[in-house]
Amino acid sequence: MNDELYIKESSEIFDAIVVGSGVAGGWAAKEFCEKGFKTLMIERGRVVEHREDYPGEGVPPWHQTYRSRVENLLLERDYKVQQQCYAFSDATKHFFGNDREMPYSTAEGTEFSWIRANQLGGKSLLWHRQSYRLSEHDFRANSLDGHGTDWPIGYKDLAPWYSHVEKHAGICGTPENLPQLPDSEFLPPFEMSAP
Amino acid sequence: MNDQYDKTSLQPDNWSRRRFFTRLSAVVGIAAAVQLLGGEAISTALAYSPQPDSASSDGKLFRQQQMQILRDICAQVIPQTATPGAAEVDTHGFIDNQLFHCYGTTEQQQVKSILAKIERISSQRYGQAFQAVDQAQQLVLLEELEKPADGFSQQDRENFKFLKGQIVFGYYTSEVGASEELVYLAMPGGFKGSIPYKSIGKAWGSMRSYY
Repeated sequence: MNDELYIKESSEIFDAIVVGSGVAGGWAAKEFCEKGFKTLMIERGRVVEHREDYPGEGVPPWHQTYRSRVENLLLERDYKVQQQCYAFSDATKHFFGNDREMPYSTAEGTEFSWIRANQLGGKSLLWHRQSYRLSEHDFRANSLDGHGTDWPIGYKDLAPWYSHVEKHAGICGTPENLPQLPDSEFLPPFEMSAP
Repeated sequence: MNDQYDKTSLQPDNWSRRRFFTRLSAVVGIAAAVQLLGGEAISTALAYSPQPDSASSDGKLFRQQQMQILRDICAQVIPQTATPGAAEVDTHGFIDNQLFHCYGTTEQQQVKSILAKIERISSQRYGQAFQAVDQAQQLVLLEELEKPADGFSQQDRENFKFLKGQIVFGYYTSEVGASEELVYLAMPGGFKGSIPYKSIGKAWGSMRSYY
């Protein structure tokens, strides 16, 4: 992995500073740049270069030590929490935080699975390509369940921004008209199979 | 990308790489060896390599006799056809290695327990060890294991189901299973709605199938 920094020290003045290079930070920086703002992105994790820093990319299963699984000893030592993530495998484990090097505690009687991905691109490197909109049920879940405070915004505030992002990303799916799973801006469907 | 994994890469070159890595890691430690050689070289050097004769000695988890039963079960579950079957690609050796490194005692015990049960039923019924009876009798016994029949319990069926999962996983993630029995392409590219089956003649293997 690359430990180099892109900028060591700089006296440049920026119009906008984006903290974090994950999905949200990446989008924020894209919007700023496109609107002509001189933008600085800060990321505490290491640099990840396309291709050269993806050791699991394109490796067939028979070349993986345990054919996509990760051995007990390594899981126990470094990935006790991270292994709970659905995206954790031999081909992705280097993009997860090391639980031994970054320990944390939770209050007694509570638990929290802190899945971490400190690197350029953040958890976007672990994204398994599914994109669902949150619905009004999600934004109001706290009050509906009787715990805490709702989000300060609702679905209708975010809906146009979902559309803005989806048209760029390209999302496949079919309109279902379900209140609990609002429809996205969908790409045209794939071609049909011949009967 | 696919070209770099042609079959010749598993031949002598790779053996020397494995030997080299084993020695290097013995001298400088695995972490340092990883830094020196890079991830891909290490994973290839450490990946389980099919052995021609794993059933002739004790494994990491199983005794030799258990390895023989396991080999014969592999041969029954995915037999040799035009392509080598599960026993030919040493799925039994792979399972021994995989269970040892990647599973807990519960799963290890599941497999040990069903091997013992198969052995016992075989002795009762045929008066011989499972690996000594003929293949037709082996098949009858394994088929009975699948249905509520005398001698086998629901727990036995669950244990056998787990073992079959390991055999299927081991075979279809082996080079032969993934790239000869199935078709393998590291980066498949676009979607085509209709492809005549006869233009391929087999199913596709992909990483996601293995989870």
